[in-house]
Amino acid sequence: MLNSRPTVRSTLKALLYIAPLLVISLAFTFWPLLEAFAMGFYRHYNFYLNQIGSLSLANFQFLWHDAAFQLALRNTLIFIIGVVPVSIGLALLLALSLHHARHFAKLLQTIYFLPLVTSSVAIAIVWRWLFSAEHGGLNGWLAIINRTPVDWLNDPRYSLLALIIVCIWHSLGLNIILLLASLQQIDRRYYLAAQLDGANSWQQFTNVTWPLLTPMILLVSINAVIVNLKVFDQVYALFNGSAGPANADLTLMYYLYQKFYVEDQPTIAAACGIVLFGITVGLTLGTLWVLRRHHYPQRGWSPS
Amino acid sequence: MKKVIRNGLLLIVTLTASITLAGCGQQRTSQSTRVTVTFWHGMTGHNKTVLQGLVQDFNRSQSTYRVVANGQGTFSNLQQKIMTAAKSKTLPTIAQTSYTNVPNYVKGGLIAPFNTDLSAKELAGIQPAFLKAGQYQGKQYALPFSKSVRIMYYNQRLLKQLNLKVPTTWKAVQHVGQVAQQHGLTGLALDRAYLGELNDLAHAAGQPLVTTNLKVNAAAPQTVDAVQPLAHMLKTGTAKTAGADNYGNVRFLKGRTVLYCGSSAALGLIQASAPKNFQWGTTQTPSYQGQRANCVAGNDLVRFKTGTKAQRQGGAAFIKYLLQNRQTIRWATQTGYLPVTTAAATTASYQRYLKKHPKFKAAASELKTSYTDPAFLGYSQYLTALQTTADDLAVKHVAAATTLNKLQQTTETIIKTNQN
Amino acid sequence: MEVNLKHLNLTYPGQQPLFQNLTCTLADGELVALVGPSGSGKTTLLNVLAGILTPDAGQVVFDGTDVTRATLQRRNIGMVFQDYALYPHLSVLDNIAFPLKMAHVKKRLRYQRARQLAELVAITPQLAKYPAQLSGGQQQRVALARALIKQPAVLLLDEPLSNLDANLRVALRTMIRRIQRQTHVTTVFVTHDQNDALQIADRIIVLNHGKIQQMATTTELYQRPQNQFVAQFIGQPRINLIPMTAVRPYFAVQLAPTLLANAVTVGIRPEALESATTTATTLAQLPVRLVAQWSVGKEQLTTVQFAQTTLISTAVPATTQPLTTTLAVRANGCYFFDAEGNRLEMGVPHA
Repeated sequence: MLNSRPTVRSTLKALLYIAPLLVISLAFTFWPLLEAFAMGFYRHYNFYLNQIGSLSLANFQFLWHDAAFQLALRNTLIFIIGVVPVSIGLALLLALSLHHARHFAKLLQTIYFLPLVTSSVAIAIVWRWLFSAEHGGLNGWLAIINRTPVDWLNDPRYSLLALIIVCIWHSLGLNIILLLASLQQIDRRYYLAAQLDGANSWQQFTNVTWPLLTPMILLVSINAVIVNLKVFDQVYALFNGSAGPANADLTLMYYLYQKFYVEDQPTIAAACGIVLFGITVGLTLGTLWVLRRHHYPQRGWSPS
Repeated sequence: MKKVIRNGLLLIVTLTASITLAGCGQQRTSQSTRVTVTFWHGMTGHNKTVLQGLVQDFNRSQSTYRVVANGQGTFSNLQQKIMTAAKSKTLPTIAQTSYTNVPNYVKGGLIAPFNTDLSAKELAGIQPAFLKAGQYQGKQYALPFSKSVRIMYYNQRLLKQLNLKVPTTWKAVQHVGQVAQQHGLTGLALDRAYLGELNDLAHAAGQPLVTTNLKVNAAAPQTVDAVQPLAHMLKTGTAKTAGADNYGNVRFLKGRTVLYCGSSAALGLIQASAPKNFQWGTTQTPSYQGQRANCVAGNDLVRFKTGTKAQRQGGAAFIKYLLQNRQTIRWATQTGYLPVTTAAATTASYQRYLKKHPKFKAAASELKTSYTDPAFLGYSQYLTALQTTADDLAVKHVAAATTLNKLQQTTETIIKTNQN
Repeated sequence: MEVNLKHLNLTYPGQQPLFQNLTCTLADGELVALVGPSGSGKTTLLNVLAGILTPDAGQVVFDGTDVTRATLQRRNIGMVFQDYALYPHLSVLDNIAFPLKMAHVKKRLRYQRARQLAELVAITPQLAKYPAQLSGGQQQRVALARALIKQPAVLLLDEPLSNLDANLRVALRTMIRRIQRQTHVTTVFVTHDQNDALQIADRIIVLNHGKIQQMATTTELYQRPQNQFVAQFIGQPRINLIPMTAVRPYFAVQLAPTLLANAVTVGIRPEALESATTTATTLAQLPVRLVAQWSVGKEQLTTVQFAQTTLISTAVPATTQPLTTTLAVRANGCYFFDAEGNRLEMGVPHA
């Protein structure tokens, strides 16, 4: 049977097996997706009656000229640049120390993983307290190093930083787990070989750990970029249903939400969704391109 | 986790409801023939309990309809729920929403007017400003329900300490701000969305930000002048907005802020959360150049086209029930919302209540000077633009003329784009 | 470089002591094979030499320098792991050049050296490939080149041939021998296959239960095994072992009284069990029953039944003779072991 070739019959049979899931995903994922995509091009659209005036690029023109959209785009890019490298760098550092930790490794792993399984509302409450201007924990630390307190959540100069800090902290757990798993996959013999070849600890890291971890780091990066492009919950929760002081934390996803649910402009929201989709695809393809350049021939998981 | 709790609560509510209904069923054999009227609202906590009581009493008062009230959480949740339900054709019979959504719902063919259900006399009993707000294209699409105005809260102890009187004009408020600042205190706390205050100032200056004819007056010199004192206070820090706290009562209750301009709907909450030794009072919003204008905020009731004719009639019957003096007074006195009919407002029992609870007087006394924003397509976009102006003044300290000019342009574009 | 292991003690946590007072010396430029059954401590000993494991007590001395506590990096060891441990993300060229890169040798120079080494192990056509694209034998040669490039003091090979098929084994072990001769590097290689050891090693260490049973040349090990274990371990087919009591009545010569008193087991190499017509000095004539005969290549194997024991011989010519016959035990190739398994000197046999 291993050498049987696909026939019309066997293909139909296979289709039959996946039919239930296929129907569900077609009906509940692909169709709405297509519809949302199309909606971005509707003009004079009556959302409730589903009457389409005409098809045009007017919504994208609107976005192009909309100051709020430009702000959202800018904020999102700054946010991504702020979160992704630091989050992954920190996660790598922590994963390395957990990998070498002899005691409490499991406990520490759990602690780092906790944010991921905690509701964003609870997280926001804790962070709101930490960021509080008067009695906040963060300002307490600033006071220790003799810095003037900062009104993290209400000063537009700092509020995006506040969001970045929360999201770094939030994404740390998953990144640590993924990197740690990848670290544990690296055959110990490579390190022995490298030591015998005269590599010191840093050389072992740059010549063994880093190159062998690169695929996972890129994967984690893609994931982090995609997840953080869609940041919404944390903004909504941290700033109590607003996009921060004077929209300083307005992200693309928040803009989309605002347009769709608050401002009754579903076509603008859909167009924004398409732009967001385009950015995601672009960044993902870019990362995959880098990944391919770092690709080396592998033979399954065997270390030989 | 949230879902689990929600489902659990839902189960408990359903069980309780079915037990209660079973009890009713034993009393009334006609239960099975009743018409069910579904009602979505955005009331939570104490107000929700009061509303449930009204619903229960309505169900007991007659045997034709049974109203099933469903709280949808916050107002923004309720709004989102209505949007999705409209798409999936699962709307309730009636729902609580702002009259400013009426144009949008009419455009979508979602709601039915009340004109045929309520007599002219019944409609005439409603506060004129509230009634007018619910009219669109000559028809009555919304009826007032949970209405509030902006009032001013003051910290009695601080005023006394600073040797100041309760300010009645914006000039006096500015003075309070200066004195308070000299003593290391904050003069005025505002909500993050202090849109009502901005609107009231423009109105008092005779230049509503958007008139009923949809003329925009944001950049009018009088408007800029009127906003100036507040902008100045925000710039100098004698007035502070709530920011991420959303509502100024948080700052006000900490006891280092003399005044707080906020919604009359927050009265109950402040009363409940104020420390025992916290002495405070309420008064009308300050006047500007001898004029006072009070924008009516809050929510109304609309009726959707879904369901049977009998259900729609039931919806109207329930609203009529709510508009009766007894219910109106009960609702107003137990929640702090304004009485929505003139008849109820003038009853002896309501007057007695005000005497007994003087803090509720401020809001009631503003009924005379109350006005409502016109409802128009794109109103929610206009609100976003107005919030941007509010942020410009409070957070970025942009000059009033600059941001109001921007608001003028944006709002005109919004109105224009939504008209064609 | 001369390597001295002095009084090594090593115990794995929670286990019986493995090495107790282990001592041995490897001469400069010597190729030493480490053989023994699995669990005998071969790889452990190799790891102690490499510095991967630190002994609990004792010393590892390289040319008079104590390196017991020296890190792996400082020992200047070249090592080929059993599964080669080539860096999967580096090309063959970069793999070979890796140790020089770690030593900050300039790129041009280290690639030049790497190409020389690649030439030496005949891997030049594969320089641009990645480990996953190489066959086992090719990987092995890359690993060897990598181990040799920094001119190590000691070369350690852990089962270098075990993953290869028979033809490749022979070719590669010959190459290892050739390169070892050329580079004159003191080399230790672990193998469980005595053929590899016997073919190319200068000296062989036979290890069992963490104890060195004997360290000697191939010939010496075969001809003068220290004990029953070595006699049994070295030689293919295996040595025949018969209880002394069974053989005793058939001795044709007078054995020394001490030998008679202490010998418990008699070991007879298969080639020492000959037809009775032999002209060599024989010790005994054993009456046996022929069981089977077959040939492997040029070797003629015969199994016979003697008393309770099945014996194997390589010295009986193909025959159609009656099933019962008498076989002679040649003196050269017959050993006596005491109860502890130690070999007893036979002395000069008397006819």
